[in-house]
Amino acid sequence: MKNPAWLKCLVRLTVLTTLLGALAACQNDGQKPKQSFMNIGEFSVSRKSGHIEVRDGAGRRLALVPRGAKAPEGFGPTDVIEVPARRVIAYRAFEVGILAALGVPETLVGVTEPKEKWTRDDVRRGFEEGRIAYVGPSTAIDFERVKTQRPDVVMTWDPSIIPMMDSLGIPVVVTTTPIATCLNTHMRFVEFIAPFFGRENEGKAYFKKVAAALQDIRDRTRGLPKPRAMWGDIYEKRVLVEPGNAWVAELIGLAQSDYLFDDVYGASCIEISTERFIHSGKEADIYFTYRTARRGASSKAALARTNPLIAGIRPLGPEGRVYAPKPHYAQSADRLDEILTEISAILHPRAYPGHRMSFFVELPDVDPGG
Amino acid sequence: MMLRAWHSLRSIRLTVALCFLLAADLALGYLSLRENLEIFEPMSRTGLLEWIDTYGAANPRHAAWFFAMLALLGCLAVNTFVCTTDRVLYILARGHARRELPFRLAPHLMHYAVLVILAGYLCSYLFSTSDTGRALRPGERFSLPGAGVTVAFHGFRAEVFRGDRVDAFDGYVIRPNAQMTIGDGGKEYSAVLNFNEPIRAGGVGIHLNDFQPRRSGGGAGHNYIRLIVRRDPSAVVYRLGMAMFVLGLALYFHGRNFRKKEVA
Amino acid sequence: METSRLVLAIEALLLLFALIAASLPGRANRAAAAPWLLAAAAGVVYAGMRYRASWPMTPMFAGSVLHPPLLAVLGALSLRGSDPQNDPGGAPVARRWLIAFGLAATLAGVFFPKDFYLPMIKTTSPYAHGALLFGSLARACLFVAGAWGCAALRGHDAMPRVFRWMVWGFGFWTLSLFSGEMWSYTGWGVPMVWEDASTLTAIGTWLFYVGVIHLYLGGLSSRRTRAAMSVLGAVLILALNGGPDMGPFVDPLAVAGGAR
Repeated sequence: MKNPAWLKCLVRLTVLTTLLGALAACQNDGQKPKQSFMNIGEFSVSRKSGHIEVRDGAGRRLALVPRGAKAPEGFGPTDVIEVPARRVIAYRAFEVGILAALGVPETLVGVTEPKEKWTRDDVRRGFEEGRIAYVGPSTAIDFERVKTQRPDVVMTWDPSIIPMMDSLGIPVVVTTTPIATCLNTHMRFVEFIAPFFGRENEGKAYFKKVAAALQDIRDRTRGLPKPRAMWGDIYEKRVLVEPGNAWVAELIGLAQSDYLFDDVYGASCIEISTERFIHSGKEADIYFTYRTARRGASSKAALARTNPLIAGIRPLGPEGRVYAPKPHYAQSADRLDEILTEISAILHPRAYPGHRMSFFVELPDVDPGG
Repeated sequence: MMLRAWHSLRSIRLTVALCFLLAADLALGYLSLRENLEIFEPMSRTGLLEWIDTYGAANPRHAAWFFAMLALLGCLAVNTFVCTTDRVLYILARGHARRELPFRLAPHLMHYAVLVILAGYLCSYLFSTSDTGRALRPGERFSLPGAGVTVAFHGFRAEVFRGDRVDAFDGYVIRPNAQMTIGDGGKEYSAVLNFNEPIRAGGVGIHLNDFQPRRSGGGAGHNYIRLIVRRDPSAVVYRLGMAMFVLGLALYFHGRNFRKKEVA
Repeated sequence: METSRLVLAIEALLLLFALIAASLPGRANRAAAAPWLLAAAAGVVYAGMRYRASWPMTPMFAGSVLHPPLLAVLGALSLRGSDPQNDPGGAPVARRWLIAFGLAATLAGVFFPKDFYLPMIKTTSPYAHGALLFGSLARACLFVAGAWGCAALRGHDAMPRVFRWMVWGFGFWTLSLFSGEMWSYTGWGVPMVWEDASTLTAIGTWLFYVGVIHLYLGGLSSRRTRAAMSVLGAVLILALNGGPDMGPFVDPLAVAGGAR
């Protein structure tokens, strides 16, 4: 060898780097590394002495302290939330479902959809009892109404309400992130919300239930031929799809199927070019639309009329299938295990004989009587 | 002992080996980062030490490349410093003509620049603070108590894109021109905030992170700006390092040294 | 979008003709010049179309497909003063590889296009444009170095050219990284935006060339090893930096049908 010193040097460094990497990897692998810290995607929960510190979807630090306990230092007045929270306003139906999964649906005191938009019995009952109030549309909530409801915390995707909420002395937690949440984060999001209610055990039980459903999906679909699926829609020439890093995309991949926007990366409902949507649409077997029947997805023909641009995609023809969400799909986070199973059943009907659809509807070719 | 260590650290072979190992490590890092962005993205907010303690420690398998990179960069920094200092002392001792000296020192200026950049990055991840949760609607303001700065947002004077040249952009805002008033140490002044055009006041950088509405009458009724407020005193360090590197590069290209060093 | 892909496909076809012609024996390989020139023209048209479809924003994931016309221009410059038919410096070999590297990048763009992302307003920054343009220049220079490296591997006296082009490529790559860093600082206030994983491969490639340049300057290895490293660098750029710019497989014939 011409350069033994060189080689020695290289070998030593390779060994050193590998050792360092392995050391870092083995230090805490196999167990929950530091029980005091847990990240759920970009969200995190950190147990400190006397309080729990969480980082929300906007990267804000919030302290969860037991009722009556002293607020920790370094947090503003509205960055401290007394737990268990007793009164909550939730922007998204997803959080409403999570409250039910944690067994605390009665803490909900405000929502951003009126009573008639809700299919959940617990929410409708809350409205009837006068406990839950409609605080206005999410884009323009009525801050006076919010104040009247005296929430311990507002769960929102809209950080622009924070200054006003600060002035009202109401803590806010941002529950979405700029990047779409992956399947793992979607399933474990309950573990981020659970500490707000001291319901960590219920959160773990819920996660276990969903994880078991996922395992069942893996087992049932193993080795089956792969259908090709796409998820998205076109609105006024703008194309929105679920990217490959979104939970639905990961689920489709996990359920032995090809997700046609697997290579697309970004936020939930990311915009791509029309050509790409149509190109992938020509290869797809199954198409999931964002629209409900009320927004034009009552049949393949109706969908093609609403969006002439997508009329040529394969699922809208006789060989393909199109599915639209039912109104209660978005409100059923507490039944996530059933939703995952249903998506898998849509992808592989033969693996789920006798499955009755609850959350999606397969669109007929034309509207009944049309 | 010290001298022996100094001599073994100045090896150019070590430099080459470290560079190749770093390149390989970063290629592996690409694969890890692509699938686990959510683990690394918070580092800009938390800083390096807290990140290592939390996200890094909680995800050792995905962060192993990053820890290896830190170790390799540390070795490269020491090696570069020793190697360069040794060489600079040698050049200075030889008493080259004054005109020639800048060209002879040009590569070493680049070496020191790399060290300055690395030090700047390290300080940035160790000492900077970041607030990513600020949002303002028209008419609202907030103050940054530590900096003695108040920031008020009044509205947009948006420039809108017209035409169908860019797919799906007709009628969309291309430049929001957020109208701001900044109060800094008793003085108040107007400022315009845009993407990539931060406002600096009281030692903090105020960056536009997002805004609504994206088009006239759009945004489903939303009207706000989201901000990143970041105090990073070391930003000037790594920018100085970059300027040093570019100067060194320019000197290297223009110096006679370049032609002489061409390898036959 | 479909029309621009068609132009890219034409560029690839012309490069293929040029490569075939350049591989012919004797004076016949002179025929490579015309298709190569036309391919460069098609590349300029393609780059213009991509820029027109996004200006004042930066076209997304365009680094790998914008540099082939630059590679043709710089490659032709590097061939100046040498006889493409018979040259002890290995010009015929270098020319074949110059065309081949351009063809590889163009084919990747034809069969694996990633032009479906809409441009982002944040990319209106001059630093974002700088990162893309310096990056394209750097790739072109480093491919020129790689092509001459191939000639050196075949025993030709091409090492001075390899080193010169590598240093220019390294310089432009550095400017591209610094532009990207400045964009990151002005846009987000941070030294590095973690959202784009391909930043890591860009830094990795830069470090690889730091290593190779030190190999040259330190005279640490044989000429053959150094030449091989410059070729490996070109391959690494295609894989590490071209990979993130590639989308899913698309049949270009279907696109041609769509464009009609």
